[in-house]
Amino acid sequence: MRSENLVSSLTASYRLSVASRVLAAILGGYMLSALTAFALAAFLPLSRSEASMTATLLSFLIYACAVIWVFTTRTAWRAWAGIIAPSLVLGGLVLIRHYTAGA
Amino acid sequence: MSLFPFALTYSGLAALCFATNRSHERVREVLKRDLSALQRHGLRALGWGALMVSLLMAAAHQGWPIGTVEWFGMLTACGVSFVLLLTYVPRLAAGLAVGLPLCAAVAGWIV
Amino acid sequence: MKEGFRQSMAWLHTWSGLVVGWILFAVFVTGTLSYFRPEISQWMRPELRDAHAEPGAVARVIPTLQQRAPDAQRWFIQPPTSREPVVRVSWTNSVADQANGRPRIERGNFDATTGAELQVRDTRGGEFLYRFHFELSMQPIWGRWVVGFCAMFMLVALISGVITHKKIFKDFFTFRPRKGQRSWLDAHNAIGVLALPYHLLITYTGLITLMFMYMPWGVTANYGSDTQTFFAEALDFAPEAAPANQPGTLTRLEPLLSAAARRWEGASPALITVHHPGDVNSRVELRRDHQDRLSHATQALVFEGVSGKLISAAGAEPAAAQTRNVLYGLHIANFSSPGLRWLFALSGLAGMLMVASGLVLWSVKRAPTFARTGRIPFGYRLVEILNIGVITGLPIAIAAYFWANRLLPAGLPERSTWEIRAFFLAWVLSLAAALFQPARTAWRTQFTFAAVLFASLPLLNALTTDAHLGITLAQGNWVYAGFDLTMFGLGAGFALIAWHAARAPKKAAKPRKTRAEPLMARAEAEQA
Repeated sequence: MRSENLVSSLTASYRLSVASRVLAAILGGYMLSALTAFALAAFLPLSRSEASMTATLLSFLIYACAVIWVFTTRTAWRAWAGIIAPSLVLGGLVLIRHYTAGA
Repeated sequence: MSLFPFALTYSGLAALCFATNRSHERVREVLKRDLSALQRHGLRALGWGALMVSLLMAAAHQGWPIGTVEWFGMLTACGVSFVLLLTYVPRLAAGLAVGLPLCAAVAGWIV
Repeated sequence: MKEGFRQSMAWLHTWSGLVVGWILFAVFVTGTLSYFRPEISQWMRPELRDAHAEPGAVARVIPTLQQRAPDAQRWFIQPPTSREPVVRVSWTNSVADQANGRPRIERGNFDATTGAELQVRDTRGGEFLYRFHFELSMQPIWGRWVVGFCAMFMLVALISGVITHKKIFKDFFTFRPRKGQRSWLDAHNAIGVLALPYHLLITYTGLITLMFMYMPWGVTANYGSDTQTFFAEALDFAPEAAPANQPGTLTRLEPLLSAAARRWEGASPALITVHHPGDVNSRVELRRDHQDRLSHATQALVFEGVSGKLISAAGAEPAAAQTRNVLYGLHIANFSSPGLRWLFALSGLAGMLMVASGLVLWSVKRAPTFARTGRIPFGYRLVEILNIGVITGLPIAIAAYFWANRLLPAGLPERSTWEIRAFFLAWVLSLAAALFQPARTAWRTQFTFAAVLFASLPLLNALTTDAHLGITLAQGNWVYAGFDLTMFGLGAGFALIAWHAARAPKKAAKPRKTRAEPLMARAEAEQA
């Protein structure tokens, strides 16, 4: 955000950057927290129902933190990177579990 | 809920305010001069102490879950009252910090 | 680096708060009112003035129900309480008789002493405000998503607000009135901080109440689409029993209730669900009242309907489920202690004042710039109109709802719908008034109107019913009397605000110097 404030607030590139962050925060953040909920539920060493419950309870906190974080990075690209990279890792873990656990 | 924890919460918040806000307009009005470092530390300790005791009293009365919730509620109620009083009638706000616990103690003793 | 971080948080706080601020205000107002849903529902049914909770009420209602709703899929029976001393029942019939295929929910109020159905005016009572709180009177699914979306924005606004507030403990106690923008910022900060635990708690727990809808993925990971099993394992939701489609007689309920009381250390059920009442496979499900505890856990007991045999009892609660139940209970705040409930209501009031002051602050901050240029941008005017239309309009709409309840004739078809129409009509008119008046006049006249509407409600009550202060105070009937007195209080409160809004503001001490800076950066600098 910092570098963007130095420029006049109404240029197209500023607006685009803000829009990009908003998307990263709202949609990207949801995707990340959904994947985290899924992964936590799958991998936490608790009973099925406990793991699902815990994962769901935590997911909103993760969503909030993700949104906050998106607006602290230096550029919008970094914001997206910070959302997509963990999502890929979590998604990967989930897929591996799905295929190794059988049907 | 008895009144004593309420009074303690109010006094605790008031003490903390006066201990930590040297440059606050109203605080300066009431105190007229700066407190010494010792006085500030003492007041701060008293303030936190009062808040802790009110929490313990609330928990003793209703159990920890509901007691804690009640305590937060008292913090809000007393905080709002104190801020409003401090803004408009600062000397009364300060006076209540001493007077309320006394009144509550007396009332609790009589009733 | 630190300055940039706080500036970003200030920006995030402003926009996340503004975009959903009006909906959040409505959510806070209706939510706070919902703490008193039973009392509101009672007041809106003055025919029930003398009703009182009687033990054994549920058993008396069963024969009436067997005549009134013999083909129901389920009876949901809520026993009488001191706050709402009638037996409330809702049911759905197996025939889907609505256009969208969903079964129509029927409701009835039954006398606790005789079990007969009560003839009361058709009204949704406090239930309408309660539903509005999380559904906004939209289609349930859409409404809940909108409110959930706004709740997430609120959570972000709270966290970013805390981060951006440099001197949070010092400003705890700071309120400098009559200094224009400074005062609004002080008020917004003070109210926000003083009730911060509540705001954080209520926002997070609000999300928790509908968390399986917003974030089903935790359940999907371990159960796929079989959510029934998850709910049975985690929250002891009773498994469904299909009807045998053969008639069976429902057993007497008293022994079941006694068995429950023994298990629950004397606590009584808050909800009794009879599944397939006239069927041989009927079930009676008892869910515990939790007014004396924080947790919302219902510790369900399921009995066979015909034989009265206990089929299942909730086991010990695992930790995460316990956490969820406590969080849920904290949001619903259905405490038996009136003192605690009023503390929550006070905090809810702080919440709506925090949202409102934030919305007004946004306008007040930008006003001086436009005073200079003389040209008011569309965005600013839009915010101003919405501020007036929502912050004054919603209270006016609520007062109109209560007024309609007293004025509409009892026999009017679709009466409850007309009460709700009055609510929305009043709100729309308030928005229109905001549109066509200059802002300062609009604030003053709207708040004055709200004050008049609320303060005269007890008078209207006296003119139209027997449940007015003259009688209820003498009887010690605090549900009705308390409502009327609160209306007086609200009227006085709005009058005070209207008077305050009518006073000319103090002129700013120094004229602002013109600076060629982007508006946002300047706003951030003033926040720090």
